[in-house]
Amino acid sequence: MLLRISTLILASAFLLLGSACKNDDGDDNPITDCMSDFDQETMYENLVNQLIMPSYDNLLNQLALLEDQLDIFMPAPDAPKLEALQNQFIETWKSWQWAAAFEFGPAEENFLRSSLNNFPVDTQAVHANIQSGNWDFDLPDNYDKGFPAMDYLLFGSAANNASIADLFANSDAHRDYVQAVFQDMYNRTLATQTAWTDNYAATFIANTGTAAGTSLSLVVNNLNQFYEIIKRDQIGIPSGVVTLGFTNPDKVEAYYSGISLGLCKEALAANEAFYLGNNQNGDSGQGLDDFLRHIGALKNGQSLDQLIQDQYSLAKSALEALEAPLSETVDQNPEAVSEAYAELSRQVVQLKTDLPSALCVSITYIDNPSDSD
Amino acid sequence: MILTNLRQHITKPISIAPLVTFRILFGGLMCFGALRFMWSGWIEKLFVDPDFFFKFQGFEWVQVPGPAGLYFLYGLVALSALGIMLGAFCRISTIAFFVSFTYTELLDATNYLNHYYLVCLLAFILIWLPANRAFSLDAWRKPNLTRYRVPAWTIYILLFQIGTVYTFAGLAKLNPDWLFHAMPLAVWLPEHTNLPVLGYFFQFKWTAFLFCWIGAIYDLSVVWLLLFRKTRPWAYALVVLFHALTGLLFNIGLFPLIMVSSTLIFFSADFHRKALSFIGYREAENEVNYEPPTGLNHIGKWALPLFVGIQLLMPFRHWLYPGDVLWTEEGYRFSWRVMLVEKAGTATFTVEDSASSRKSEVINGDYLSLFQEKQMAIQPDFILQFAHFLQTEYEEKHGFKDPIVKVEAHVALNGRSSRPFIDPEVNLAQIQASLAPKAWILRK
Repeated sequence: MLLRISTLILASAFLLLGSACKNDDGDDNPITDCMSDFDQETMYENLVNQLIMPSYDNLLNQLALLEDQLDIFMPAPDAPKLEALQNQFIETWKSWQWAAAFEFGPAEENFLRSSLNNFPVDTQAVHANIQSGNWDFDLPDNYDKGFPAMDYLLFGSAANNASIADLFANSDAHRDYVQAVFQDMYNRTLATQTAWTDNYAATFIANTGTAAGTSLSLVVNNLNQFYEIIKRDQIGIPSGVVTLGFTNPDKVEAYYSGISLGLCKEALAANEAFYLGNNQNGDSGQGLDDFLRHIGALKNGQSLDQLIQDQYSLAKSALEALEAPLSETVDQNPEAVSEAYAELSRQVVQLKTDLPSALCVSITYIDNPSDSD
Repeated sequence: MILTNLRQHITKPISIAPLVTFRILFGGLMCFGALRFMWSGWIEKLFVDPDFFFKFQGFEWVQVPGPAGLYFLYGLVALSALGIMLGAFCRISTIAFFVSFTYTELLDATNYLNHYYLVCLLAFILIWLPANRAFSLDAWRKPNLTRYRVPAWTIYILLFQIGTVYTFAGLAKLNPDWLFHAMPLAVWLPEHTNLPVLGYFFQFKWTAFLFCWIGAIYDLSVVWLLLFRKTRPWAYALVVLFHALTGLLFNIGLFPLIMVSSTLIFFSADFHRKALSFIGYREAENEVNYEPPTGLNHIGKWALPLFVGIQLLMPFRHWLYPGDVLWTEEGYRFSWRVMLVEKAGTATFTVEDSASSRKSEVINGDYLSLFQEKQMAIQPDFILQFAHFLQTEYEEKHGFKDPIVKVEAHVALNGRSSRPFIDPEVNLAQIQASLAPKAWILRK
């Protein structure tokens, strides 16, 4: 009896095996080897020393320059000083795009991204804050602070630069608010940069492996989250692709200064540099591209790294084809914007599904809320 | 002849002791599980925060109650489990536990886990067993209920149910990814290289292979080893070791405890009598044997073989579908396929108005939690459910006429790069949910 049952089970086991074997994949999509000898520490050292820390340093320098301009403008506001302030503001905002991707560790603790760049700005909330003299910049879901709030106040709070300067000359409340917004941005950036210098850099470099919470999973997940912001928030939402084709010109990142497209290009360049392990000057170092090549990751027989790099190029060219300001282009040349969005979208599967799969990072940044099996 | 023998074999009276142990441990664990669920804030995270819930086919009517209702429901699970443990009002407790626990599992199919399904089955079985006839509050309240001899099938059915879990889990491991690529353990083990001692070995690929093969052999043989007195202690030691290890490595909650305590049912009546004697269990002599009510006996004649038959066939139903079950997930659930896939995907939906050229891409996160989105992207029936939800949503909120819902879905399975998962040209709004093979899944 027992013998017969065992034979039956063995027989069905081999049947199962046989039926499964016919579905084995060819070599075009091979299973990568997770136990690779790729030197993760060298990659993290490069990312930290060439990209992450320099980006925070640069952002902090730019913020200091912005403070200089604020110190010049605020005591005696006029149009020329405002223009100088505006120019510095634009440079500072661009430098933020290079620091925006690293929303883990110190940046996450300081709510850096939501504090510095929640957009689109809620102008009513800004006015309410100015009028009441009360605000709370600790709320990550408020849209009354950071670069977008300054964008509105410095570029859009009145009809032209002369009247904006007048407004600031005659309103303590406006001056106080801009100073407070600036101070909050500066403090959080400084706290983040300090934490990296003090000990987080060493922690990050040593945190090798593939589990959730390791530096590899932080890098892969934050690369993707930032890419999603570029695709969806910077281009997708303004273009109307997620709102039935009705465009949302007022939801661009920098509606009042009109530099949204420039910011988006910076962001995409920064995202690509994060992937490649390049610094801001384009000097190459160990990055995820080297990791993919080291393990020989293929997709449909082609190098996955090459596919990703090609798609970055296509997306960048599609953005180059657009005219600034983005808030007008979404209505005047919707096809070009759609095309840019499509090119950005074509990268998502490669970055979000293929890359983690090849590197054996299980996508656990999406926490399993309870148990799994 | 064989049937008569079998009948005699399964109705012969044996000691109730193993059943008593099972009842106490199962009830206690389930009570703890429900309290743990509430305590961990999972009610809010899984059922209060999301607005949309995936359903099992045929159970679309299951409603998710509000927070108070959910706490009442989980409170009922805990209370009825306590009733099972103590053997109090057993008929009511077992039915209440089965219904309330199963209802919680039907709330959102996203959270489907094989071991919760096992709990549903064991709870269902328990309804029909005389587990409260000894060493229980019921027997203490009404001493004339007490029986120390029960028909053997009341214990065999539990052996069978536990046996299916291991055996089918073992059979499911006999696939090329598991045996020849050590997948997905080759992805999961290196995540634990920081464990003391053991972690050192997880950096080597052969460790993953060793674990895969040992795991498969263990699953396929442990039931047989547990059945024989000679091998039983060793087999049980393996059970404890195996589940301690998986409990240490993977986020599988109560599963190791459930299996370690349920497999005790394989031990002899003597073993259970001795173990229970430490907490005051005594079997009196010359008691009458438990006889199921005639009605139950009548139903049992066909219900028991039917139940057993269904359990034996369910895991094979994937043969009715073309392609690899790990990829299509048709016939995947309720089949003891545990820890077989590392799967990730992206699914981008577009909804188009038939009456105008209006169309919109969907931000899944507007409706789904990250966990739901992750689960949806790899399971075709969830993709279809979400598509139908979008169809209604765009009809009602945006005035679309006969919305066309399409999806771009890509899935990566067990360390491979992704492949297209769903036919991007198919209008999912016009596809009926059914158990028939889904022609719109792109197979290998």
